[in-house]
Amino acid sequence: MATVKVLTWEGDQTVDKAVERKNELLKAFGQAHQVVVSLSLLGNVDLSFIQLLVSASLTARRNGKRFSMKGTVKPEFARSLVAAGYLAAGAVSANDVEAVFAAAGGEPGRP
Amino acid sequence: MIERFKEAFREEAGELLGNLESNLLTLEKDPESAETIGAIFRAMHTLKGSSAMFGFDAVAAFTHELESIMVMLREGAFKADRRFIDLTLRSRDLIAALLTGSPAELGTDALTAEFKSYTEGRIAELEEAKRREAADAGADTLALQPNDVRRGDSPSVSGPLRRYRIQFAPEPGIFSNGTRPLLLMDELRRLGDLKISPLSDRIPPLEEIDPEKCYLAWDIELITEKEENAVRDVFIFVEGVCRLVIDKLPMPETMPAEAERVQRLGDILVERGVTTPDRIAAVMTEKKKLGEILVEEHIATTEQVNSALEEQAFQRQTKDSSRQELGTSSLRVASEKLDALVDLVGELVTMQARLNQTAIGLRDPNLSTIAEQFERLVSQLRDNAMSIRMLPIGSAFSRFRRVVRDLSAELGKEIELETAGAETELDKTVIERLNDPLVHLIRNSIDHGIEAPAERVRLGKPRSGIVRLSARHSGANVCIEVVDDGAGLDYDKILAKAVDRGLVPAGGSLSEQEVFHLIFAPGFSTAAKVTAVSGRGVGMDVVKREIEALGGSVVLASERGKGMSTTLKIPLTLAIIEGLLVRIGQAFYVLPLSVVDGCVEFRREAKARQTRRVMNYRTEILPYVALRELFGISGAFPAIEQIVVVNAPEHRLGLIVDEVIGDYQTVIKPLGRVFKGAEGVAGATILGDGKVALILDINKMANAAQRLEAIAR
Repeated sequence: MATVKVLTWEGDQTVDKAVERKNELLKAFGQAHQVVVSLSLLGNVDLSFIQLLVSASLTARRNGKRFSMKGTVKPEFARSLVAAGYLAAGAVSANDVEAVFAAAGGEPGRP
Repeated sequence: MIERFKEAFREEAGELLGNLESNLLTLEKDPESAETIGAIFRAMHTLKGSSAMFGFDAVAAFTHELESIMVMLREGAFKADRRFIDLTLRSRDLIAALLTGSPAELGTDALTAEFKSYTEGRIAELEEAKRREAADAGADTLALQPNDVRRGDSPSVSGPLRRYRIQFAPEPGIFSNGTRPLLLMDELRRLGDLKISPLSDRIPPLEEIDPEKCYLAWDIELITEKEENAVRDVFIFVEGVCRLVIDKLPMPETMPAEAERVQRLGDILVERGVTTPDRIAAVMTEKKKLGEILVEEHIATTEQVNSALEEQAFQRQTKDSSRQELGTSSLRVASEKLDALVDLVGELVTMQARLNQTAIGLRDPNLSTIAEQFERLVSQLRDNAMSIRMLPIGSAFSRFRRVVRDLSAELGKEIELETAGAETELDKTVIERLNDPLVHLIRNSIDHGIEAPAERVRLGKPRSGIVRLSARHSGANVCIEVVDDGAGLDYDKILAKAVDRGLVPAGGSLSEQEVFHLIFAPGFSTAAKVTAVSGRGVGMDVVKREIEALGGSVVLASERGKGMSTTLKIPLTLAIIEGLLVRIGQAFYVLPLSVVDGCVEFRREAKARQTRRVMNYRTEILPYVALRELFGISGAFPAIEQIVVVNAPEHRLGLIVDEVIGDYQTVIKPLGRVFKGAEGVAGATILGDGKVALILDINKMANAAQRLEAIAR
C-alpha cells in the first residue's frame, strides 16, 4: 500500500461531481495510509463537497489513517466555508480547514 | 537608553514621512480634498511634537514653520499646486535626511525661506485677483473663507436591534430541487450580525454517505434591525422542505439586572429543546463541566454542546463590544524579535517531525494521537508566526508613486501609475528585497518604454503613458507585474546588439522569448545614450539575479508599439515550506508540495522495454526522470518504485523515487557558501532523526536533466 495519495481537484466542486469525488476519496483511502487534498486549485464549493471532506475526515479517523489538507486556500473556497459556518471570515490556511473538519468529524478529547 | 527611544522615534517618524509623501501625491491629484489636507497637517503636527520631545531640535523648528504654512492651506489661503507639492516633498526629504544624519540638498533655513517666499507670493496673487474681482463687481473686498471640513455622516440606525435564534435543518433531498443552502446563509448575513454553527453529526463515513443528499443542519444567531418576517422571508422557498424554528430572544443588554450576564450553557440547551431543566439540575451535582457530562450521558451531542457554547461566546462578545472602547489594535515589534520567534518556531517544526517519526516507529496509537494534535498546534503556530511576517505589498507600491512622479518630471514625460492588488501579502523580507528590482523595472519603463507626449500623440496614443503595477497570489507564489503602454521591446535591435557583443552567432534563429531574455545579460543595453536614469545596462541582470535569489522567475512579454510586461513570480515566504518527503537509497529529499500533482506506482521491468522515458498519467503522456540516475545513487532499487508527478514553471514531468514518505513541513536552511551553486537544490532541512534532506528546485533540476540527456544522446 502506498504511503501517501495526493488528490488535486481543480475549479468549482458542486453536487454534479460529488459522486465522482466520493469514489476518488474511497479509492485513495484504499490505496494509501494518508490522503492529502491539495486545496490550491479549488474554487467555489457547495455543501455536497464540504460534507464529503467532513466524511473523509471521519473515515480516516475510524480506520486509523490520516486525512490532511495542504496548499493555499483560494478566497472562493474560503468564502464557501465561511458561509457554511465552518470558519470565521479572515485569512484562512490549509491547517485551519483541516482542523475544523477534524473537529466536525468528532476528534477525541473535545467536550 | 535614550538612544533606544530615539531609534523608536526614527522608525515612527519614517512611517509618518511615508504617509506624508503618499498624502501629498494624493493632494496633487485632488487639491480640494479637506480630508487629505487634514491628514498632512496632523502628520506635521505629530512630527513637530515628537521630534521636540526626543531632542531633534532642528526637525522640530523646521516642522513648526511647515505647520504654519499647512494652517494657511487648511484655511484656504491658497490651493495646493505643483510647486507647493514640490516644496513640501522636498521638505519631507529634508526631514528624513535630518533624522538619519544624511547630507541634504539645502539647509532648513534656505528651504524655509524658499517656501515662505512662495506662499507669500501666492497669497499676494490671490488677494490681488480678489481685489480686481471686487472692483469689477463694485463690492467690498471679500474676506478669505476658511475651508469647511467635511464631516463624515454618522451611521444612522433605522430601528432597534433584535436577536433571533434560528434552527435550520434541510431535508436530505434538498439538493435535488436545486436549493443551495449556502446562498440562504449569505442572505441572512446581509440582514445583520450572524453567528452560524454547523451541525455535522449526521454526516456518515464515506462508505455510507450519499453525496447527493444533505446531512447538515445549523444553529444560527442573528442580530438585526429587521422584523421577524424579513428573517422568515429568507427561507420562504424552502419552508416546506426543512425544519425551521425561529425564536425571538431578548438582546443581552436589555435583559433584567439579575440576568445581566451571558446565558448559561444549560439555559441555552433547554431553550433549544435539547434537554430539560430537571436533567440539567441533576447533572450539575457532578464535579465535571456540564458539557462533558451531557455528552457522556448522551443527553446532547458534542456538536449541540459546541454550538451552544458558540452562542454563549457570541452573546459575551456582543455585550463586551457595546461597552468596550476601541483601543490601539496594533503594536510595534522589533524585526529581530520576530526573526528570533520564527527561528524558534522552525526548531519546533523539526522537533514535531521527530515526534511524528518516533510515534510511527513505536506504533503507539495514544502517542500517534498526541503527535497528530501536536502537529496541528505547531502548524497553527507556524502559520501565525509566518502571518506576522506578512505585509501587504501596497506599502512598497506607495513608494513608487514618488519615483514615477519625479522621474516623469525629470524626463519631461507624462505618466500615470496604476496599482492593483496592493492588499496582496508576502513576507516582509521578500518585500524589502523586491524594492530595488521593481524600481529598476519602473525606471526602464519610463525611460526606454514610454514615449514623450508629442510622440505618443503622433502615434495615436493618449498623451499620458501608463505604468501598471499589480500583485496577486498564485498558489504558493505571488505574481507581480510591471506593465507599460510604451514602445515595447525591439526584437531586431536586441538581436543586433547581442550579435555585436558576441552573445549569439549571427544568422541564428531565436524565439521571441530567447531574444527578450538577452537583455538580462550583464552590461546589455540598447539605449542610444546613457542617462542619469538608466542606460548603463547594469540593471536587468541584477533584477534577474535578485529574483532568482528569492527562488523566483522573470518572464517578459512585449508587443512592438503597444507595450511591455515583466512578470515576477516569487515564493510567498522564504522560511518554511510544505513539502513531500521522498527517499532514494539512503538519501532523503523534499519536493515543494506546491508543485506536486500526484504519485503513482512505477514498475521498472515494464518500462525497461520502452525506448523513450514517457508514462501515461491520467489522460497525458509525460516524460519522467529517474532521480537515482540523475543523482548517481548506487545500490539496488526496490521492485516497486514511485513516480511523483510535478508541475514546475517550465516543466511537467514524473520523478522516480524509491519511496514517498509523506507530507513534511520544512524549515529551509541555506546550503552555505560551498554548496550554494549546486544546481537543482534550493536548500536543505534537518529531519527528525538529525539526517539532512535536500530541498529540490524542480525547475532547475529538470533543466539539468534535460541538458544531461541531450549530451548523452
